[in-house]
Order: sequence, then structure tokens, then C-alpha cells
Amino acid sequence: MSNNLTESKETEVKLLSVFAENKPGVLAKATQALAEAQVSILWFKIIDGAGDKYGIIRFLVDHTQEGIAALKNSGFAIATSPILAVVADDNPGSLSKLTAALYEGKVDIRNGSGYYLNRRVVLIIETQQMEAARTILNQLGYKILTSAEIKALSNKKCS
Amino acid sequence: MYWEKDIETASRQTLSQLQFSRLRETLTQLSHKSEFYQKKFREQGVTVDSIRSLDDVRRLPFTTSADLRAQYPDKLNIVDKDHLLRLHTSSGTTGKPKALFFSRKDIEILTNNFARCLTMVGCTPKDVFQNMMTYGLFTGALMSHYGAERVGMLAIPAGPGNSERQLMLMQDFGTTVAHATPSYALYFANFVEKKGLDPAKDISLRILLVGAESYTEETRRKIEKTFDADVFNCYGLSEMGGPGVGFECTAKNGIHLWEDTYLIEIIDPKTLEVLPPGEVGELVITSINREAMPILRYRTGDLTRIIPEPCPCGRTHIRVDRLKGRADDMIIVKGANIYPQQIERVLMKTEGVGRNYLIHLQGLDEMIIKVELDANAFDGQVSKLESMQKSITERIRAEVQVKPVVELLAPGTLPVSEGKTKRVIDNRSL
Repeated sequence: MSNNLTESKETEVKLLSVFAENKPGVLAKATQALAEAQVSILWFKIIDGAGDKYGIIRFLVDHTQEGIAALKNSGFAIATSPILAVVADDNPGSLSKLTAALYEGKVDIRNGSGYYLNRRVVLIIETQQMEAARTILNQLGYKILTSAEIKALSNKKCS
Repeated sequence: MYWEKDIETASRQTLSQLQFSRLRETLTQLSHKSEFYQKKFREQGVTVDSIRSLDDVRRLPFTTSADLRAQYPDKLNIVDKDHLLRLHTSSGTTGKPKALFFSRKDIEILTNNFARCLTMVGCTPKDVFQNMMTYGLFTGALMSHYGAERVGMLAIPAGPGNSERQLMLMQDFGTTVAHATPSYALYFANFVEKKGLDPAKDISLRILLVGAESYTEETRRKIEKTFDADVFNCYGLSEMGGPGVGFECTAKNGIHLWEDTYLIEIIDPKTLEVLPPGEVGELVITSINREAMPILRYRTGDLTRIIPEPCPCGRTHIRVDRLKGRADDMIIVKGANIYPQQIERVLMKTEGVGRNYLIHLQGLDEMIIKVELDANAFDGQVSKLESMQKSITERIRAEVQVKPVVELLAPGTLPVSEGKTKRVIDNRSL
């Protein structure tokens, strides 16, 4: 499989952002909604809002559309934002090499995170300059996952 | 469209003559049959013959909500039990309710008045009327139901709540007109959206009659936009027979009150003096065409003003402004007098704010405003929520002189009651 320079909307990887009041049981309710819809969570993070009264929970899931529907049906306000899911080696200097390249290409990373997958790392990169970042990473030979690939990889991650 | 063009567009002179003769008749009945008013007349030194013009109405005694409670259960009724057709009550938050009796003629007049209201906003026999008000002791649903049937509309007595069934009825029977409280209308819109439907496109509502709670112009616009329908403000109170005391016409600029049935005054709630047209004060209503239970100069507690200019719709019956809330809605926080509507106005104008809010007073005079988000405007960015929170805080502070704590909530999380929604919860330990 090769990465196209411009991903179509369908193959673009998206994070789900869920508005969450800071009270007991909200995270449990959101994850239960995903569980009941058989949607697998690959990564999540809680971002605190001002005053500790609310936050935003961000999820990367295997089945995005099903995840959106499940959360909406449970009454959550949700939004999606496109990200780049980049496969990198798990060794010293790997992240440094990647961020240096993006810095040189004047790509501003708004949010970054990552998770392990089969002894490698999937980096989650959020930027306003998606196309520039994609071009740079492609030139350096990084694998940028499509939503279909994320789905496929997560299904066999235990093998 | 008129239901009764002659009376709706009658000249001031005709209306005044009619009002005066009906007032005199009312006073005559009361002076013969009502112990309560006989006593009041004596105390005030008023006789029927001393009331010689409509201006003399200001010499008559007031009737208050407390009077109605004190005369419970039936001391204000002046006709034989054989002549009574219906009992309604007006819920009191504390103590006994107010008991309200209606004769056949009373029901007939109120039904006809509501038919006038419906026709005034463009309802015809072709319309399907879904009534989301509470059927029962509350006047709101039954009186409007009768009015809709009088016009010849297909009336669906849906009652409040049960949004699943409301939506089903609307879709299966093609509802074009709904009658609801503003808070339920907005709650229902959330529900419809959660079903993946668009309230503007997927249901065929063209008119919403919205009343029983006071609400702002900003809320009206929000409901209109959400449903792509016209929203008309209805005014009524059980003490005066329920929901059709007055309605907006299609000019949507003030509520016409039916002057062949009611005598309208605006008074200063402190001095109790009648105010000149145009000044804001408490609305006072005298029923002049009521058989079982006429009420003189009833202090509604509602604040508004008379709009003196003639209405472009051609109706001559007096117009009052959108109600500014009830005099007893006012809250005092940190020494500032605040009407919840001032806060509602700021919220409903703010991009990203959803459809429900709650003002929570707690601790030592702390004001917390809980605001639901608009699910469609949420973009997942914390920074945007923070700036919205800040802007609401600042604008409310500018409006009411008290800095609130603004809390953002997920859509649909605040409770919506089936009757009147409580906007203020006061748990202060003062």
C-alpha cells in the first residue's frame, strides 16, 4: 500500500473530541458507549478546561463513524479533528529526527502523542499544515496510516 | 386573518362603551352575590353607582394571589353549583392552590377567544395542532385544545414530555402547529437532533405557540431558526381563564389583550398608582365578561408596558410588550437587582451556547450560571470553550453588575420540567 499525497476525506484519520463535564462517571459512560458499539479505543487523552469544571476527552478509535454515532446517541457533544498517524521506530533519536524535519519545513505541531503497536510507535500529530507535514514525512519515507490501515492493524494487534 | 373582524377591529369608542357596560354588570353581580367583594367595597367606600366611567376603575379594590388562596375552595364563586362546568387550579409552590370555576358561558367565551388567537397567527382548519401542554388541573392545555377544535383544526392532545412519542405523532400525522413552553420547545429540538434529524427540515411545523413561561426575543429567534417556523408569544394566566388572554399577531410586536373580555391597567407596584401608557409597571387585569368568578383588578405580578401606537394588523385591542418577567422573579445578588431574563438575553445571543441554562445561587451570594453547549458548534478545541466562557462572564457582568461563575455543560444535561421550568435555584446560606 502506498500513501497518496492527498488523502481523501474517507481515508483521513480523525480524533474524536468529547466534551465532558468534570464529574464522576463521565469517562466510564463514554467508554461504555464505545464498548457497546464494539468500537476499540487505540489511544485516549483528557485535556482539562479552565476551572477544572470540564474537559475534553480525545479518542483515537478503530471504527471512527461507529464511534461518532455511539457517542452522539449517548448524548455527548462531539467534534472530530484530522490528525496524521505516523509509524516510527522505537529507538533513540527517532522522534527527534521527525520533529526536526517538520521544524525545518516550518510545520507547527499543535499536539503530539503516541502509542505502541507491534514494537513500533504510532505518533499522533495534530497540525494546521496537514498537507505540508504529509509531504515532508512522505519524502523521508515515513509510513502515514490511513483510517483503513488503522482499522486493519488494530484488528490484528494481538497476533 | 380575523376570527371576528367586527369586534377585533372595533373603534376605541365602541370598545370603551362595551367595557363600561360589562364592568357595571360585573360590579352589580358582585355587589349582590359576593361576600368577599361586598366587604372590599365597604372597606373602600365604593358603590356600583359611584363608578361612572372607565377611569373610575382605579377606585376599585385590588385582588391578589393571596386573596384567591384565602377564599379557597369556593368563596369567590358566585353562581349555583348547577351552573358550574369546570374546575381548574393554579398551582401554588406553597400552601393551597387557587381554585378557579368556570360556567358554560365562561368556557364558551374563553374557547372563542382562543380561536381568535389561533386565527390571528394564521391557523386554519387545515392545520394539525399538537398540544404539548399539561392536560389536567392546569388551564393551559384544555382551554387551547377547545380553541383549536373551535377553529376546526385536528387537535392532538399529546400532553407534555415523552419526546419519542411527540416526534412520532408529528411525523405520522403531519403536525403543523405546536403549543409548548419555550424550554420544552428547545429541549425537544435537542431530542430531534439526537435522532439524527433536522428540526427545520424533517418535521413540518410551521407555527409554534410558545407561552406559560416568559422568554426573551433572543430565545424566540433561536426557536424560530431551529424549527424554521414562526414563533408567537402567548400570554395567559389561570386566574383569568388560562392561555388565551392575549396573543401576538403576525406583526410579532407586542401581545394583543382581548379588551371585550378584560380591562387592562399598568400600575406602579410600589405606589399602586395607574401609570400612563408606555411606562413599565405591573399588569393588572379585571375580568368583565365572566359569570362564575369575576375578579377585579387582579395583580398579575407580570411586568410590561402598554404599546400606545396602533398595530399594523388592524386590531384595535390594546397591545403590551413582551413580558419582562414577573416582579417576583427578581433576584438580589450582592446587592444588585437582577432579572433572569437579562442573563438569558446575553446567553441566547452567544454563538456556541445551547438551549438550556440554570442560575444557581449558593454559598454567600455566589452566582453560578450553568450553560449547555450547542452540540453543533462544538469543535473540540479547549481554547474556544475557554474564550466563550470568558466572554459570557464579562458580558453578564456588564449587564447585571455582578461577576458570575460560568460553567459549561453538555447539551441536554439540565433538567426540563413538564410545567414551568425553574431557571433559578437559590441555595444561599445567607
